[in-house]
Amino acid sequence: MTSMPLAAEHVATEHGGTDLDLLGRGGPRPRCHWDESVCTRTPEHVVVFTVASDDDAAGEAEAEPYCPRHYVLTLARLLELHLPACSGSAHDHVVRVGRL
Amino acid sequence: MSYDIGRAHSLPCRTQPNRYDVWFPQEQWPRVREFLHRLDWDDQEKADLVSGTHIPLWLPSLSGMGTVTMAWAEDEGPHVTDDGLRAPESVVGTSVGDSPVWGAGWHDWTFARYVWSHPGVRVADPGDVVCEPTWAAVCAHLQVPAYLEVGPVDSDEVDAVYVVSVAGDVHRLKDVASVSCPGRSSIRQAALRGAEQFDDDRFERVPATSVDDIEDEAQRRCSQVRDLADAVHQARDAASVERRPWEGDDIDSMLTRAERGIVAYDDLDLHAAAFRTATELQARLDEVFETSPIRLVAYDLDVDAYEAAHSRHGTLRMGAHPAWLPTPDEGVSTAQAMLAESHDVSPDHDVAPGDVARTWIPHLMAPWLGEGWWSAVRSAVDVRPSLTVVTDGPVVRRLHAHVCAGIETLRPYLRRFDRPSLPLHERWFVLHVEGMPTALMCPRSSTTLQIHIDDDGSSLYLQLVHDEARIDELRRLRDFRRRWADWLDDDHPLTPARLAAGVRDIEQRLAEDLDGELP
Repeated sequence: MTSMPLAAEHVATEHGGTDLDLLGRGGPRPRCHWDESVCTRTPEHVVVFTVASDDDAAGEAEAEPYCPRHYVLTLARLLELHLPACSGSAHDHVVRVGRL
Repeated sequence: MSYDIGRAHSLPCRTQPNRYDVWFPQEQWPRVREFLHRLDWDDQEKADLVSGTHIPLWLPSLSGMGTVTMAWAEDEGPHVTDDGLRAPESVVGTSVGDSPVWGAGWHDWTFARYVWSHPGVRVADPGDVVCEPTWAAVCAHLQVPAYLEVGPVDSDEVDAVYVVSVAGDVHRLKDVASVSCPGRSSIRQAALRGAEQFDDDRFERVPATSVDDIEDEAQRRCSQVRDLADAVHQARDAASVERRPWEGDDIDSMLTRAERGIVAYDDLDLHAAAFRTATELQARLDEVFETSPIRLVAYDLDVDAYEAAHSRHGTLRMGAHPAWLPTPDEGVSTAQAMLAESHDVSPDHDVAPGDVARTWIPHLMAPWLGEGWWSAVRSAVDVRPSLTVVTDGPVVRRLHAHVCAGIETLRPYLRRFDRPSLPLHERWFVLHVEGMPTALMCPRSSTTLQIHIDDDGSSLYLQLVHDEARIDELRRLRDFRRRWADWLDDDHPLTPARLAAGVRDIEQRLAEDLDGELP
């Protein structure tokens, strides 16, 4: 499985799990994590990606918040650009999608 | 009866303005190879041509615009007539994307004359230019009409052949009939490659008073191509958004980035086969990394010396049979292994910087067996060697090497060759991030080097991709950008209803991919 490029700025998560509270409470207000342009819209959705790990078969997860436009584009990019060339399935890449 | 022998992509070379590299699918190579053997190439060129999966063309051709279709007569084999390069008009064509652009003609991918003399050249869609860089190179070489055949438009008859040097000297072929002889392609190639120091007794120098006439002719014939290039530029300019305040390398842009927490990044593809030596590649890399604190150094690998010292296993020579990368002799510690499956230096992984032995796993690797490297450990052919470096000033925060080599084991074999001494498929570059313990080994043939620079130059991601896989990716990317053009344009407003429908549709598609349920 080739790894999906991820945005440089990630929301920290616990090893092996995802703490979505990090996205909505406390700390700085989350920003749309679309990495092809600078987006200042309010995130409304989240994609929790698995992160390939050599050491841990279960892998880790990283939650990426997106505005609606870039949520759609992120999933379209996964389905139309990445998966056709990847030996992994959608299951291997995404832990959870939906509204924040 | 005739049929296509395959579609190929061609790319202009950045450092050599007249050079284009044309790639053919692997399965077409037996036919292409047989055909090329019939052409009049010099031995080194022929060695390159028949051994790899691409053809270097040293021609002011516009084939970089899109796909090239070669043709083949099933009953007769390649069409080679007495001038060495003719083929029936009906069986050869060029297209850009799916739209035929030029009328059929063998000359469309070999002769500048074809482009210069055929009216009505157009590009269906500049988006069909799938790889960078294209038009800069095309226009750059059009400034100098290095080789010019003059004859009636829409005819293969040639009245005269001129070579115009970079300095403006004009030479004319003494015996125009000789352009119909088998030596034609060698004359053309020699002329194009050596126009600045042209010395061929088959040519005579034309008095300076005639230069203007010749240039007028060249200008007239180039004008269509220039118009075409202009049209593409305009289309691109119109499509591109206005420059943002944070874009650029000037101080104001950098300050704006700092204020807004924005970092600059850059993506670039380099085609290893387009660089003859590490020195040429280094010149390009120095441009790319001009504003980055990271220094990427390119070396030629002395394959003969390396194999002499690692004779027990494998070969670096990628020919008709898969190459096996040499593995270390018995008794060599794993820390000195030729290749590593993976290799981390990162505070996140509790590995002290410099502790490189932990994840060295030497094993059999076969480069580009299919569109990836084959790994004996993974039993898969999807391996893409890569190297990630994240720095913070002078400190390396993270290093991840995937299928890389220890630089110290390679150091005795690193060179800077003046000129290539081996056929293309036997040559390797070594790419070393200065100060790091590992290096990427990059085969010259079939390899696209993907470079991603991020965080204002402080992060680097290098990956080797098979040319054909990369072209497939670029095709998908082009289609994706067309399909989602409105969504990708942040300035294009989307109504709440359209956004909601988009979310619903994409989630439904994802659910279908996940057997009906969203995670």
